[in-house]
Amino acid sequence: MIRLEAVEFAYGRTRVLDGFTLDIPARAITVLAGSSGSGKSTVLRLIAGFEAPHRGIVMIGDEAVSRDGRIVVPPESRGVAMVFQDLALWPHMTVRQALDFVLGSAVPLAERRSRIDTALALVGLEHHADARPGRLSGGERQRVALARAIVIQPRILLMDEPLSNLDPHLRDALVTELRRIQTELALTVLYVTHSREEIFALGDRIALVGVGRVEQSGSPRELYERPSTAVVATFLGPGALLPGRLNGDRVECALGALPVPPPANLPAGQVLVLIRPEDVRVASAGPFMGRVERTVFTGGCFEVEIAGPEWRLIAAVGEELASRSEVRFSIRRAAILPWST
Amino acid sequence: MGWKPLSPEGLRSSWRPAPWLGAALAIILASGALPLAWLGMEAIGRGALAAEALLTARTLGLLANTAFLGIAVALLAGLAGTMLAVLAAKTDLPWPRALGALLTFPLFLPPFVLALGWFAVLGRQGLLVQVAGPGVGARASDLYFGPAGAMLVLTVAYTPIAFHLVRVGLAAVDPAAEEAARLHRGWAHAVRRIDLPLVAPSIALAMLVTFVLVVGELGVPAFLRYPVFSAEVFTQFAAFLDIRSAVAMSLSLSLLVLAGLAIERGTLRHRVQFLPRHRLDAGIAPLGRWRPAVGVAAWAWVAVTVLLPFAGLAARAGGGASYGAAFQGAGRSIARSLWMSAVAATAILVFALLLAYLVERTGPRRRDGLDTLFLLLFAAPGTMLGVGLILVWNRAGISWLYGSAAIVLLGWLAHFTPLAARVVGVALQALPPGLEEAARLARASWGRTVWRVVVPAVRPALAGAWLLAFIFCLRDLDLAITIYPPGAETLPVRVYTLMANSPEPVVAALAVLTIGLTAAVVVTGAAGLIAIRRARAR
Repeated sequence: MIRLEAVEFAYGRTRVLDGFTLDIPARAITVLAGSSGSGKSTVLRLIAGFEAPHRGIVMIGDEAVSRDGRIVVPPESRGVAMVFQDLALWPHMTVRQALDFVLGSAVPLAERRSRIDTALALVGLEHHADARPGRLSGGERQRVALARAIVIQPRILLMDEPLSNLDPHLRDALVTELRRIQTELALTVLYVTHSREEIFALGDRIALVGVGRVEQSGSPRELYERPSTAVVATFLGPGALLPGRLNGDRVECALGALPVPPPANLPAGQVLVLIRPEDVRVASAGPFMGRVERTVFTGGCFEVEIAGPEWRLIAAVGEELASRSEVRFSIRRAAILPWST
Repeated sequence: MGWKPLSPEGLRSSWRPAPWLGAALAIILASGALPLAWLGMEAIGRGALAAEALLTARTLGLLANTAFLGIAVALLAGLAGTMLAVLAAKTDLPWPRALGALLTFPLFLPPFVLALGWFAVLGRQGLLVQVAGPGVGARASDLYFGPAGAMLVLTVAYTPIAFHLVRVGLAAVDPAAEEAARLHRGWAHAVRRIDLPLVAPSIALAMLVTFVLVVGELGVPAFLRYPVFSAEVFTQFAAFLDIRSAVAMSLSLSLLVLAGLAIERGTLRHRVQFLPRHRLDAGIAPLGRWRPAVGVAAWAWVAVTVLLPFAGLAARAGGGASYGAAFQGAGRSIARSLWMSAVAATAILVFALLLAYLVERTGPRRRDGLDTLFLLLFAAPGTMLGVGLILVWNRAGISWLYGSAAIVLLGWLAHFTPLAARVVGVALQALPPGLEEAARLARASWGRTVWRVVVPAVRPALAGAWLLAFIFCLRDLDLAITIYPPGAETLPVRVYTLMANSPEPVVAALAVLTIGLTAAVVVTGAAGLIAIRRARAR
């Protein structure tokens, strides 16, 4: 549906994207994740047509909409809608006026009314049609931004960290609603965030952006369980990264020998071993032993830091463990990553 | 640790801003609000005379002329300023900063100097006669002396107000709000439907400020022989020494000013509520193939309205003899204008800081009241404030005040402190109160906190406020000419009085000297401000 091919882009002398290549499938939510300053929002602006890639191509469908410093198709002709990070609501227009504005006078009046009513019903804002944004709460403003985006039935919906300013309760509710609307309208959505909760709750696919390029893309589970780099591994969740040496179907690390999960696809030699907290099982019969350094209650369970000589792990356990006590544990599963310093 | 708790004496509060702020407010009220209130009481006390004066055919004619001039200039300057601001702020017009700087310069000049400039172009011996012949020149000259000329000069003088208010308003528009529109429409549509409605309050405010300044204008209508209230107040007072008629005319004039202020207070305060934004950059619309044509048109506008009158004056002044005579006639006034403006600007700065603090760090209800009062002091026509000052201070035993330059300084303090306080107030708004609260918790006194924390934090705004106050004092004619005592003529007053009985080349040379002096002040001040900003950025 959307393809960015070998895109290069810089703001002045600051290079933001460097050989950025990504395919975004139709009728699915693709989450573009990464830390601040990694170039995620720039990717959205390139797709929307506010910026042109200095080098490379942006394709929507079969059409090259921008290429090599030139905007071929202007923003208003791309069939793209966007929910901005700060929402960018027009403070002088009521909700209905804003939706009417984006539909434009080319759409017959009766159809405009019907579309606006449908969009407002879809986001649950029927009773606020005549309110200005300044009078609405944060969650309601979010819904206005969403209604404004979907009322034109866009080919593509771009969302730039739209929920970053909301409290967790409201964010959870809107995530559920967004997923429902996307399914109902079969929208192609590119969703930028750095929130792990949003990544896993929304993403059919994830593209994790490192510095200027895609580190890894795939399904959320694939990236969580089989990250290809340390950046991907640490971004998507807590875990210990231990230096190790791959040797056939085993890996030697500071803990000892661990079985290698298939498929390893790595040559023998130095690697990184990723152990997620939920893969550490504290049990009296476990083969490994360490000392509890710290215990933190995280709501549903305890996060426990266990350390030994030259290693340190985090375990998620159901019971509180006393600090400085010795515990035995086993490793349910570990992932192998290429070596990096 | 060996620390001991502080003794109760050590914890005694030294946070006492009230005496300072109260004293500053009292002095400004005494120097500005008291004279205006006195004038109002006088007018009410002479109710029959005032009502009679209001209803004569001549007064109604003056009312119509003044209102017409105010409305026409407000509309023209609002339109021109808005168009130029949109081009400079929202498009890739060539050299927008230089265009803005040139366009702004006339605002720093006494408007009657601009009128002299246009006279050098459109007068019977002006540039136009040389280019188009005496027939066209005579017609242009006839047209110039009257409402058309007053509209032309005052529109050029006050277009910068709309230009800058709209430009600042456009900078406040979230670029994402424009982009949200651009996903569905082109740039022209986004500017028309998003930007212009959002800056509509700025446009309206600019037009109202222009209206208020134009109805109080004395020099230009008097020079172009277009009868308006302000000139009538001055004539009644200065020529006929008829203070009663001056008071009565002031009442009529104040009604127009108050109507303008009431509209601003009543309607424009309920502005569109801007929402939080993440980005600080500005969206720029490419002019594309129109860029050369639009660039030429915008620069031609500036060249014709700003540079042409100056060129006319320079041509009319001729050689060095005129400048020698001009300097001989006004040399002392130049020096006097400079030191008086410097003293006044420094005093204004101190009061502006205290009053801005009072307005910005006080409750919203009191803030509105003070804000309205200060706006009234700035909006009051100079002639009217001058008559009020004379009513209050022309008394036996205080001739040291009334009979010296101090009365002019007092008038400027009342008239221009509100303007400087607004500049400082904007900077204080951006200063988190936490800075002062932290100093207070550290037991710093209020005075020390202001001196060591607030002043350094708002230094660029203070420098800007001083420069603005200096320039406005330097350009003032209306107030100074009403109250100046013998031997305290400022440069604009001197030029204005010499106009009547000096040869045209000498008057033109005087105008050129005024322009040169103002340009030197503006350039030096701007360079100083840039240096301060750069030093802070390091």
